[in-house]
Amino acid sequence: MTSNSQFIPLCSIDTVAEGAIGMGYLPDGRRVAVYLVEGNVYATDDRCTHGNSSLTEDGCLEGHIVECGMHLGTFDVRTGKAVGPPCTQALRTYPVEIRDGQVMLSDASLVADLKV
Amino acid sequence: MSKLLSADHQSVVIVGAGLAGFNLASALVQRGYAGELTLVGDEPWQPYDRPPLSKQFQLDGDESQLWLLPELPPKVKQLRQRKAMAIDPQRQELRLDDGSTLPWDRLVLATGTRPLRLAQLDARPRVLTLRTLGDARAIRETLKFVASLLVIGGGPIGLELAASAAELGRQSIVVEKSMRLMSRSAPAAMADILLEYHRSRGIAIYLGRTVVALDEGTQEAVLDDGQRVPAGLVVVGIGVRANDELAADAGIACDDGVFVDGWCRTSAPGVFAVGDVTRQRNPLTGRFERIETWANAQGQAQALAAIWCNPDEARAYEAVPWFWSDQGSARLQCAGAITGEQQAWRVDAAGGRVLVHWSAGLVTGVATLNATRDFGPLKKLIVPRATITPEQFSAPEANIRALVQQALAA
Ligand SMILES: Cc1cc2nc3c(=O)[nH]c(=O)nc-3n(C[C@H](O)[C@H](O)[C@H](O)COP(=O)(O)OP(=O)(O)OC[C@H]3O[C@@H](n4cnc5c(N)ncnc54)[C@H](O)[C@@H]3O)c2cc1C
Ligand code: FES
Repeated sequence: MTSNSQFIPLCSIDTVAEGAIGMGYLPDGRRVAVYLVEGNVYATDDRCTHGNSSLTEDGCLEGHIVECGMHLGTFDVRTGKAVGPPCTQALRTYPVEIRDGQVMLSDASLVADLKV
Repeated sequence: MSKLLSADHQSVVIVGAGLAGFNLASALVQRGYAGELTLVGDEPWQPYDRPPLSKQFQLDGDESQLWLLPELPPKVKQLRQRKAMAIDPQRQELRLDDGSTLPWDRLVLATGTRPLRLAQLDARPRVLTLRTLGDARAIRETLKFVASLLVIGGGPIGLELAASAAELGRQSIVVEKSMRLMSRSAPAAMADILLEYHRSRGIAIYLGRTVVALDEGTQEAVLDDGQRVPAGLVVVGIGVRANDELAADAGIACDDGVFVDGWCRTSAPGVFAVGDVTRQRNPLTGRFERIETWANAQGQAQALAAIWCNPDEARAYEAVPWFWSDQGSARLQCAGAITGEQQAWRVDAAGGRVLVHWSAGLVTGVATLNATRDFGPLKKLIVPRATITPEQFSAPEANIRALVQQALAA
C-alpha cells in the first residue's frame, strides 16, 4: 500500500462543482483540469492539445465531454481521447481520487515521477 | 453494414486532397467502407491543414505541425501532384493530367478555392497570395529580408498574416477597399473593435482605399488618393474563386461554386461535392452561399460519410456556419448570421467582447473577441428555437452558461 505522503493534493473537492471545471497544479507548476462527473473525479492536462488554450478557463463540460473554447474541439475526460474536431491528439489524463475532501493525484509511480 | 455502399465493386473517387477530401476519406474508412477509395490531389505534399499557414507557421516555420492526422491507411489510394482534368458523367470516368482515366461509381469534388488576383499587380515580383504550403513558405522566406508587409484586403486571412508579420517585427499595413474590415464574415460592430485592436498594436489600416501602383525602386505602394505606403512584400487577400471548372465543363450546375443540396449531391447523378467549393443553402439566410470555413469543410465531409455508410440515421447537413480567426492575440469567433433586427453587447471582466444578434426574438448570430469561454455555449442557441432575451443577456450579473442551459432545458 502507498502511504498518504505519496499523494499529491490538486485542489479541494469543494472547488469542483458537478458540471464545472476545477483547477489544480502539479508540483512542476503545470496546470491540470479537474472534473466531477456523476460523482466520479477525473483530471487531465489543462492545455488543449490543439493549441494554446486553457480548458479550465475557457472549456465547457457536458457529461464526460469537455469542449475547448477556442476552436470547439472536444475530449472525453475519462480517457483523454480526442472525440471532436479539430482535436486529434489525446489529452494526458491523471489518476485521481478524493481523500479527506481533497482531489489527490493517486498513482504512486506517477507521484514519485513528478516529485523529482 | 452500410446499405448504400455495401454493394460489390463500388469505387469512390475524391478529387482534392485538402481538408474536406482528407476528412471524407478518413471518415469513410472509419465507418467501415470496404470498397475502392482514391484521393486525387494536385499538390505535392501529404494532406495538411491551412489555418496555421497565416498564423503559427509564419512565426515558427514548423511544418511538422501542419499534417492532417491520423494519416490515411494504405487502402486509400493517394495520388499526389495529379490534377483531374475532366469528368465524363455518362461513362463515369475521371481523366487525369497524365492521360489516364479513373472509373468511379461515386465522384466527390473537394477542389476548394483559389485566391483572386489583382490584374494590375500580377506578375510583379514580391506580390504573392496565400492558399498553399508553397505560398506560405514563400511569404515566410520573403518576410525574412523585407522590412514591411502590405496586405491588400481586410479579410480574416489578410488580418491574420498582418498580425503575424507585426509579431515578427515587420511594419504591417492593410489596405481595404470597403469602409470596414471583414465585411463578408463578421458583424460591423465587431469589425470596428477589431480595427481599434489592430491599430493599437501598430498595424496601419487604410479603409476605403485601393492600391493603384507599386514603386519597385522605393518598395512602396501608391494608393488611390496618392498616399504612399511601405510595401516590401505585397500579399493580395481579396477573396477567392471556387475551383469549379471540372464540374462546369461537365454540365454540372455551378455559379462560382458547385451547387449541392443537404445530401452533398450535385446536379449530376453520382457526383457529390464537399468543402469550400460548394454552394449550399445557408440555414440562417436561406440563400445559396459558399461557406469557406474549416468547420464546414470538416462537417460536410463527415456528413456525407454518414449519409453513405449509415443512411438510416443520416440527416441532411444544415450545420450553423461558424469560424474562428486568431489574429495575433485577438481571438475572433463568429457563428450564424452577422446581422439581425436586434443586437446586444457584453464586455467581460477581462475585456472580452460578446455580441449577439436576434431576429424575430430568436438568437441568430454570436460573435466574440477574446471571450472564447462564452462562444460555445451561446452558439448552441442558434439552431433550436430556444432563446434568451437581450435583457437577460445584457444584465450585468448574468451567468451566460447558466442562462444557455436554462434556455436549452426549457
Ligand atoms: C491561410 C489560410 C488560413 C485559414 N484559416 C482559417 C481559420 O482560422 N478558420 C477557419 O474556419 N478557416 C480557415 N481557413 C479556411 C479553411 O482552411 C478552408 O475552409 C478549408 O481548407 C477548405 O477545405 P477544402 O478541402 O474544401 O479546400 P482546400 O483546402 O482548398 O483543398 C482543395 C484541394 O483540392 C486541390 N485541387 C483543386 N483542383 C484540383 C484538381 N482539378 N485535381 C486535383 N486536385 C485539385 C487543391 O489544390 C487543394 O489541395 C483558412 C484558409 C487559409 C488558406
Ligand atoms: S485550441 Fe483547443 S480546439 Fe483548438
